[in-house]
Amino acid sequence: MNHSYFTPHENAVSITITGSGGSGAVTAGLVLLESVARAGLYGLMGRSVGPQIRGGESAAMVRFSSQPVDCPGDRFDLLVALDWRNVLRFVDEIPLDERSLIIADPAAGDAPEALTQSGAQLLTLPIKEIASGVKGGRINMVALGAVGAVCALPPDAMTESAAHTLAPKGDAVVAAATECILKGYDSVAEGRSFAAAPRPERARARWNISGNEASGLGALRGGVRFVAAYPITPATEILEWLAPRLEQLDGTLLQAEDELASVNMIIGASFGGVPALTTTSGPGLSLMMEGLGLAVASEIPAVVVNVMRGGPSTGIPTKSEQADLNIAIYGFHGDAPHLVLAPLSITDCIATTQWGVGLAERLQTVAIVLTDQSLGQARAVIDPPEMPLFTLSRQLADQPTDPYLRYRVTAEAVSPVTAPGTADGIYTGDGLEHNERGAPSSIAADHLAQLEKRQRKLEGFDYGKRWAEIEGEGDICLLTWGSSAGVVFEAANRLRAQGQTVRVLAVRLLAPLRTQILREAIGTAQRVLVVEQNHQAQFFHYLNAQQALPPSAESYARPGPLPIRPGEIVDLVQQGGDV
Amino acid sequence: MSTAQDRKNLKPKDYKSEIKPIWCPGCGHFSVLSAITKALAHLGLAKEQVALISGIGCSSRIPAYVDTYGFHGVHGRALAVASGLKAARPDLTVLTAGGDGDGFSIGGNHFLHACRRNMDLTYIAMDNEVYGMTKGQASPTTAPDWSHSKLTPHGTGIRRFQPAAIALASGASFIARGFSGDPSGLARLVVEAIQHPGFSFVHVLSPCPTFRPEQRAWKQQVHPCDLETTDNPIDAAHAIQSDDGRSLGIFYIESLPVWRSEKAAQRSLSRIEQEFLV
Amino acid sequence: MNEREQAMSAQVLEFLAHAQALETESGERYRELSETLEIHNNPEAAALFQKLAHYGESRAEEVVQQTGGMALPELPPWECQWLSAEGPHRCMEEAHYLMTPYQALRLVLRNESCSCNLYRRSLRDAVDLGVKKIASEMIREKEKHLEWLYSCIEREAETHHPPQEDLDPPNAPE
Repeated sequence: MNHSYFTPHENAVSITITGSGGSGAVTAGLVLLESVARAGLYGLMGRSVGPQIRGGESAAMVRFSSQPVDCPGDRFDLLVALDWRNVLRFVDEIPLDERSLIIADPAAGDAPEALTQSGAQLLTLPIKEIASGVKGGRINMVALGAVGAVCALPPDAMTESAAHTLAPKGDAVVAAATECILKGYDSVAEGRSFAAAPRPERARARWNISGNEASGLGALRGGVRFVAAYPITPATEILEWLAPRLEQLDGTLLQAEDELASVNMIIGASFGGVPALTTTSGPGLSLMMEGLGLAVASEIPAVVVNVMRGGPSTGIPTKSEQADLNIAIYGFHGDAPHLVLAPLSITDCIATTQWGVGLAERLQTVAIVLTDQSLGQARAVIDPPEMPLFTLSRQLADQPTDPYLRYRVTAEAVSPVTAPGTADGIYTGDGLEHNERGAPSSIAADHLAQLEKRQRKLEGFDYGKRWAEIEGEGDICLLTWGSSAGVVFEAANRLRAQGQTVRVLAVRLLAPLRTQILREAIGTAQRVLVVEQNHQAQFFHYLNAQQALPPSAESYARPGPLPIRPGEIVDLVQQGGDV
Repeated sequence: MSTAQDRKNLKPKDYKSEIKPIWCPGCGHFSVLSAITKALAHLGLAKEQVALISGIGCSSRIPAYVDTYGFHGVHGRALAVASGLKAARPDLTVLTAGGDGDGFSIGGNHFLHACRRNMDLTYIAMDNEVYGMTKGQASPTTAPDWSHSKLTPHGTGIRRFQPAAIALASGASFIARGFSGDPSGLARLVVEAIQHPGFSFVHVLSPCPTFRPEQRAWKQQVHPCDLETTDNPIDAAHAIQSDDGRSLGIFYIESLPVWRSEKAAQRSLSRIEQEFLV
Repeated sequence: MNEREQAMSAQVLEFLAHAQALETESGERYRELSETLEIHNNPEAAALFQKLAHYGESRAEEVVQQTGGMALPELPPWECQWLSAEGPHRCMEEAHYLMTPYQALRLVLRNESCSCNLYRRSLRDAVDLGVKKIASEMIREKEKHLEWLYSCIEREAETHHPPQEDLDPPNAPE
């Protein structure tokens, strides 16, 4: 991949729209994101919500730029409050400063001091009054129009996006939204738009996709045609996206009674020769571990996309954290070599999930793909991704040996496998240790041969360059994994703009770790900083256990729920070695 | 692929693998194995089109002993593996086998939901009212006053799990009970269970000579079920609930909607990807 | 229709199908016992059952040969009354891993006597002369076999001691 992750974002704009009880903040955010795409720009939308199922407070956070956006910014340029109810819930998540602008309706009351003390300027607009002047008018669309004016987005882009997003609600709703957007746009006086806002460009074909949809798409691109489903926040949308599409691709989605069932269902389907996947989040992954060990031992390809959330236990289900690395790597009992991968961005959820499926199939093992809430439940405007040409598929024993040795120790340690229906390939898959034929065996030599085979097939495989994204050269090496990559790439670019020489190493293949290549990539960097979003520095300790880090390496590990922001990393590096 | 004629000539012993059972001499499971191979031979099923799935326990060793595709998974999850396999490969005949601990204790939830889901699966539960593989503890179907386990020296004191009644309440569409001491009769139940479209539950009384030698008396205790097979769940409930747990036969067969993978108008993946275009 | 085919009446074929099922079942159960006793490290009883398995299997073969190439009627196991609850599988149920050849022979004697009684009943009840003829041939053969079993039992009885109690506890293999 030659996609450069980040360029400086002086021209990026961050906006949040907050509101409660059906005010439509999230819908406004979705329309805004699409408007950005129609204006030829890139964008990223995250959201934050209260615990209520309906009627709670929510915040849509959109950052857009003329360059791809893969992380939140340090601060917000604009806060649009549809009302002030419970907005304090989001104060920590919405850093404002004296350059920020707050748009609010005086009819909704005074802005809370917690927000105004930032020094942000206040622009009052009669949002409710404007909306009530339109038949069926809604305040969120008026506010959206105002955002468009402040950000100098073309009105057409906004009304077209609203028409597209709201089309299922009917013509009357679309007409009202259009009128509200235009009136909101006009309500902002000339000269109030941001000087630094990225200028609209000629519209290009772009995709608007969430991380969870991207993971689902990666699964389909990888050939997955069976999915077992048990709902859990924040992974459910993958399953919801896949369900109707599997029906269109002659595949199957089966809702399970629990995660113990879902992981065993994919083992059954995969034993049947059909590439299979399930998705979950932390608590579900804990339940699946025994089944995944079975897949490792019986050498049945199986893929789990684990969308991480704050843990342990029920933790913070709606917020992001990179805290499931330990269970993904160490959660198995016994010696159970397997794959752990982590997409580095929403776009990368497609290719990395596809890669995970391909590797699991090719190597007849388990792949755990670690995304998180910040990727899964965020949406991005991206360039249409290419279809990587993997040639990774299950090696079939079309003409099995007689007798068929299901677990034959081959040169590359992968044993060609049959699927039921193959006449001469009958075997019994087993989680009991077995000999090459598959017959249960507790003989030391069989155990050793099979342990070595299962390890060697992973260790000896050529994973190519995809194991990590490496950018830049320099004395400072920022080492990270998964969703933290976006923020680290942006921080590195800012540091470079300040004259620092920085190398970024964002690891995608976490297990088996490419330790030797990683050491070489770190090279002689004077300062190595390991960045991740969890409390126990799981990645840092893992790298140390693998002896991948120089002794002077430092850890920057911070738990959720607040996202790591690029400025934090820049500050850390500038502070020198005293982290 | 074997031809239909080849298959017709397959004998029960042709469905046995070269791996020899580790079961204790005298174990009822030998006769269950015999009944399964008789049923497969009678139906003339191609070996490669059959998959036998199990969990953990003495009886769960059975897939290795049958010369069909097999999968010996983890404790309690056989029905989940079988459900995934059947959903992905509806062309296969999928059998599930296991014991009372595997199916009704650790796998209890899957049992309920496999009954509800009514996939076209056959589930043969070999019940000896004891955990044999771990040296004889009480299982869900053990009588409350059985005090021969070190774990429950005063007996469990809790009511027995009623497999047939639970299956009925959970929506199984075929419920039968057989006895390893009558392998021919059991073969007939397995044949009918396989032929039944939907989830077929065959509860098999299969004595454990090692930990429950008193079960040799089952031979004198079993008797045919008083009532004819019914499709009325109320009658079936009455028959099952008033039964002493030793009656044999098919209690219940009903034609219920069978789970199947829904298909929509087919689209290519590249067409699906167009959805993301702005 | 020649004499041979005439002799192969439907009743004869049905009788032969039953006999074949019975002898096959005996052979297979003995084979299974031989294998399981071998696994349980009881070579003496295992060897005995192997010998008997061979006997059962050859008996089943001989029955088939009597048809002179005519196909036996398909007989699902549950329609074969001779494979009822008292059929040869009973040997399986009463086996024990420590069983002595003497005990094994007693088990086999009972099974083979049951088989012989089934043939005797056919001889008594059959109307078809062909059935009577074949049944009496099979009884003769079975009686010879029973005599041999008796002699084996007598020989074993001289040195027979009931197996000693296994003082080792059972294993927990999984």
